[in-house]
Amino acid sequence: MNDERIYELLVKQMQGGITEEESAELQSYTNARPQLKEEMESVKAAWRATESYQNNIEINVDAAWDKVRRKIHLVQQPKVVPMNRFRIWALAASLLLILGIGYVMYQMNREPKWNNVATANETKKVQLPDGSVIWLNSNSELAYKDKFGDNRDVKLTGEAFFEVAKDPEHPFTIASGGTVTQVLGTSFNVRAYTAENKVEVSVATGRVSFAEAGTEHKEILLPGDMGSYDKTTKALNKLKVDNNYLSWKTGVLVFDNTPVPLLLKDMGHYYHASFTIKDTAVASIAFTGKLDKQPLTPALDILKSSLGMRIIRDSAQSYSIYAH
Amino acid sequence: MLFENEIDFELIFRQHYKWLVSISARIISDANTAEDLVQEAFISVWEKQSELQVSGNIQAYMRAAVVNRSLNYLRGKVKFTGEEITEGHDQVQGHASDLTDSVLLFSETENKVNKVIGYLPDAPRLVFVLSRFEELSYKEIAERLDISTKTVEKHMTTALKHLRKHLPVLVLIKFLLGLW
Repeated sequence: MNDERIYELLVKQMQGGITEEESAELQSYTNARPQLKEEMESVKAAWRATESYQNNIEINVDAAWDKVRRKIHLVQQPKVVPMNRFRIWALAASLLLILGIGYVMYQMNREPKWNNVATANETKKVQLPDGSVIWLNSNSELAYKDKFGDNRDVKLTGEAFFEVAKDPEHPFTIASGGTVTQVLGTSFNVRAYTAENKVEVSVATGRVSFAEAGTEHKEILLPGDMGSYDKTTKALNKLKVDNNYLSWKTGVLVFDNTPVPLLLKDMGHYYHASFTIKDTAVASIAFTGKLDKQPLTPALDILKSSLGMRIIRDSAQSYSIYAH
Repeated sequence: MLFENEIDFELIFRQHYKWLVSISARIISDANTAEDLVQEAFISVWEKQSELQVSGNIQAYMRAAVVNRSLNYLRGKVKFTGEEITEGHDQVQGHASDLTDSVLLFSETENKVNKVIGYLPDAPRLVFVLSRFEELSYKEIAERLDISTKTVEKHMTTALKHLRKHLPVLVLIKFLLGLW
């Protein structure tokens, strides 16, 4: 017997991969030499004590993500330059540079003006001058200044997902449906359709301040929180986000033992359809499953066959739901 | 595609970043470089996501990628085949006073552990880390480091003897009694 063999068996024992034979072998060594048993126990204690090794490094995840984000955006820019045409490209580039400098100087010396982006049945991605990215849902309108000053102010009607570039010096403010949402750099969804009685802000990352316009009335929202503002009662509440709040952007609806009325609400948002529940029994039915970029008709077929519900089409985008 | 969109990617990054940095830091024993390596690993999966076939979960995939990058980083920097390490490697200073220290600072277990492992020579330290935290067998460690299993056995024995010898008595008692 040698030390190496004993330690090898001990490691296997601690890793949990020791066979019965090996276990007996280790036992025979410690039986033969009682002081070895003591040594083995303290090696085991040392093994367990190392659990925390390098486990508590101080890490700034925000800073790290910023770095990674900047790099992946850099890479996406085109960078194809055929070598044999190098001179032509160099000439073109220097011309562009001169034009670019002129353009930048012109931009710096004029007053900002409001830009409007509107969507009908499509969704759109908008890049703002400060690097923030906004995905605009259908039937929505976003207004922003083409040059941001001290504050980054935008106006929204309809729904949009915001990924706000970090800039603590210049707060980013969204005015929508009688509310003001203010952030320093984060990502979140704002739903503020004129036809709906509620304004809802759902937070994905960071910290968001959600306030009734012109008042001190506000809630601080963290990831997983949804701020909901009732336009009639002026009530402002903090709730949990709906799992499917980004379905309009991802195309995916996920349900986990979700009661049918809630499911119909999410589907209504996503498909721009309205569902009327005709039987109270429907409320006690729940659905678990995922609808991944499904058109409405197959999605309804899935519900019909798996839940045994009856769904009657009343008009183009409106349906009646029966339990049987 | 591996990620639905950039937000999906960001969420996965935020969820696993710290854990992956710990894994890399244990291997290369340098937290700053570990952060760089993990960031590079994430950038690389993002760029190659259309070609990547990830079987199993992304977490396991990222772990394997980070371990590989960390080992590659050490390649050429560290000699793993080194002959037998002189017993009792004397970089650990004043461990007699460690004992009294630990009476006073019972909560400083983590610092002590980091220090004592840090004093190990590179080869035994790395063999220990791969066995303890990546749960690799001697054979797998030998393959990864391109050394013989005999050498792995030696390094592992050195590492465990070193830990037993240098971890303060009270730290060990704490773990013997299961007071963790």
